[in-house]
Amino acid sequence: MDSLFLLAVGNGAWSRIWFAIPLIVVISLVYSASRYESPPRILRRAGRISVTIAGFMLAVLGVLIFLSRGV
Amino acid sequence: MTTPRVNLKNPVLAAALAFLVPGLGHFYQRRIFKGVLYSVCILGTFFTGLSIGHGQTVYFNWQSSENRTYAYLCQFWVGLPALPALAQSQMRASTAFDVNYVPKHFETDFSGKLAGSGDLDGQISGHIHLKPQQPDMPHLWLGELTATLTTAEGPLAIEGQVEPRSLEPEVAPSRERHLVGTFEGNVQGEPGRAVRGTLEGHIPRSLWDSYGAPLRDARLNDFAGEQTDLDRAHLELGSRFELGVVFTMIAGLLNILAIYDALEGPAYDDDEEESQASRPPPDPLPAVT
Repeated sequence: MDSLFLLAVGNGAWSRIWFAIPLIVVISLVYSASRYESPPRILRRAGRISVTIAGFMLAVLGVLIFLSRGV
Repeated sequence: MTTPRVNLKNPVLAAALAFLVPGLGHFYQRRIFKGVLYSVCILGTFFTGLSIGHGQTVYFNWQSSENRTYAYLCQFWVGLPALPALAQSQMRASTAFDVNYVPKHFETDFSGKLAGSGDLDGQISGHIHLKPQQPDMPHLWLGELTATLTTAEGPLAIEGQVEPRSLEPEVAPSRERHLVGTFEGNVQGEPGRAVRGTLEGHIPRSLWDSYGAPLRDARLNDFAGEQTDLDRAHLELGSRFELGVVFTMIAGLLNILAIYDALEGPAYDDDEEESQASRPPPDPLPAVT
């Protein structure tokens, strides 16, 4: 568990998982912009999609940490 | 084709502009917010990926042993920033990727170090004139160096000849072209004071010769066991290489959405959601008697 957790939140100078945050934001913004025209609506929807993606990824991470107990 | 409420002007032209530079098609359509959003997000992601991978993550190659078709197919949609990779792969002569290839004479800056020369070891900075030893033998070069050698006793002006050992190809994904040779010359103004040693350093490589240049798995004139470009990139960058590839691929895929938006307009009307929300709920089903 420790090794997977360290890989996730930061092991050494940088951790790969933090690179997911700008990607999530960018994907949400561009996807929402292709759906709607009004800027407030684009931003609102992008916020919701970002939270959904981040929540899903955290849930998967939680499952992986749970499964890797004692490994 | 739908009938969008947004004025798309000439949608085909807008889509072409959106392909060439993310966001440009939307600026043409006067959709400024979207133009800024697309260009910042997509170009930002693309160049972040390029930077994470030290400029080595976007290239095209479809020879079987070093195939790079699928990754580049995604990156291609970013448009102009990704197109030089196609040109590097398809338009350059094969000799541009050969080591020790100097087809004609040229003069350029050199910086590096001199080793194996006893108390005259040190840093070197100056100019080198490279030329083929014979006009019909471009793979055998010769150099004439004029430089300042900085040793423990201070800076010394030196000049002499460089016998070849290795010179990186003209085209490669780095702004520095690595050169190794044997230097034999003397200190300027002191003819009796000879300088001889191994010269190692680099000469500059132009942006055109480095941007989008393919990483080579193997070259015909490789020595056995020599590190290839791809080996070196993985060794230098580790997982950041793949991370950079992913960023640039995602940027290309996102621009497909932007191109479609320039061509067809947004998928939904802005008031569509409100009208659905404010619509009264449907009547309950009539009771079955």
